[in-house]
Amino acid sequence: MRIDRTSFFSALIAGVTAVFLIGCGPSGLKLNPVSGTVTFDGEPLPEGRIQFRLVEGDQRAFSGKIEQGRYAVETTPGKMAVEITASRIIPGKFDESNPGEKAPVGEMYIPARYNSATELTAEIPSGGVKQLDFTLTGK
Amino acid sequence: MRSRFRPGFTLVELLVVIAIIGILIALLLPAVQAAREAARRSQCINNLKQLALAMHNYHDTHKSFPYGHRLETSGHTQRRDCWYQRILRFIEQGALYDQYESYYNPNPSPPEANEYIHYVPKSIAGTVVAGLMCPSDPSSPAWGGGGSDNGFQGNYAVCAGGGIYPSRTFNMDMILADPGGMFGRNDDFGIRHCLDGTSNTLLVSEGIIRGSTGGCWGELGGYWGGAPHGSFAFTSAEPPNTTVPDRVYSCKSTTWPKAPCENGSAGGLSGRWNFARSYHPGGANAALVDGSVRFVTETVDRITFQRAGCRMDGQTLGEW
Repeated sequence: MRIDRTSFFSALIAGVTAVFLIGCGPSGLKLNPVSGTVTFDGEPLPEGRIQFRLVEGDQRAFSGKIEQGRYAVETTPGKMAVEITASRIIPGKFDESNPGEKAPVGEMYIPARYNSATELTAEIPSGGVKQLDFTLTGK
Repeated sequence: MRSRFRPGFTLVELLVVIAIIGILIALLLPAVQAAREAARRSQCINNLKQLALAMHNYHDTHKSFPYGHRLETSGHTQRRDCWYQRILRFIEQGALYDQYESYYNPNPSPPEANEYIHYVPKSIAGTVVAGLMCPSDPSSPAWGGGGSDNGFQGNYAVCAGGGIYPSRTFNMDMILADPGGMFGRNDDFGIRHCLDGTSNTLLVSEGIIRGSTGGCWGELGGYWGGAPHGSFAFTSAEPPNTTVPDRVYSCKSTTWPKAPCENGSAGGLSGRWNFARSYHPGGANAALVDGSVRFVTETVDRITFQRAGCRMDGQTLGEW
């Protein structure tokens, strides 16, 4: 009996493809890109960190760097509490709690209402946000 | 003569077969690399198992686990001593333990050099303990964590807790008398203190070292002097490999891959913490108080992992 080679090979290729696709199920968190700008008293924040913490569910947090007023992080979708911190060195102030070392001391200068007692919120839709900007004031 | 069909393959059929074989080999090659990582992960699991057994042997001898780190007292020796020095005799490092315990510098420079353990010379403190190195971390063997690259820095640290809730937010600070887990400052917690059950409470996990050398205070595994700045422990307040930065007194690097870090002192930031981290794909290994070792995925429910770090929060864990 003559085997129809064309259909035999078609079936083989389909089978191999199916084997490849097994295991390509969803895995890990569904992360979406979120980016934007952060200004403090009208100026782009030179250096700092931004954190998005889910308000519901397991309250997982996602953190990223702020550089020259811009940030880009990946988060899951959902309602978020946002915390922003930035620090600067206090000139002339040193810590000597480690013997033999004079270490510069800094201060975190962003008001508490933007971090430890944050009032900033954001709603991240699935698919992420391209331009989510935060305008902070020191007053 | 009968005309018969001659068995054979056309060129196209041969090409298809070769292509399929090629694809299968291409599939196999990454699998071989995954097998190498699987072997490194097994080695890491073995290290954690040995460390957990050493903790149990310590517990059998002393009726409690070692302290996370020692309360610093001015004028006393072995300031900043931590669980690592206490466990040395139980991981077949008795000789190193004896050298450390008997070390005394008759001409200390500076004068307090006999007080602090980060002045112990590199010939003792720099001794590499292979069982405390994760083979998946390319920085190992490493030195640092105690102000210089004098002392050995390992990949493993004990669980300080999962954060406690003073108000609307939880406090992740590990440098408290009792941060909520099995290890704190000057404690002597034993299995009888583990009210949540030994199979529901974290004992030890792993971290990422940010480079083989370099001075810093408090990065995870800096056993020789960094303990009160965070070195001795990790907190389970965030899941393994979180993007939330570790916060210690000072970092070797603030931009290390998969291990962000914040300078606590130069940044004016309060609280000190390290999180469980590793280069194993998808999570980190951790040992529980009962001595079992498991792989904890990055996608673990954060609150479940947090509760697993607390020894007596009275909360059930559920599946994880």
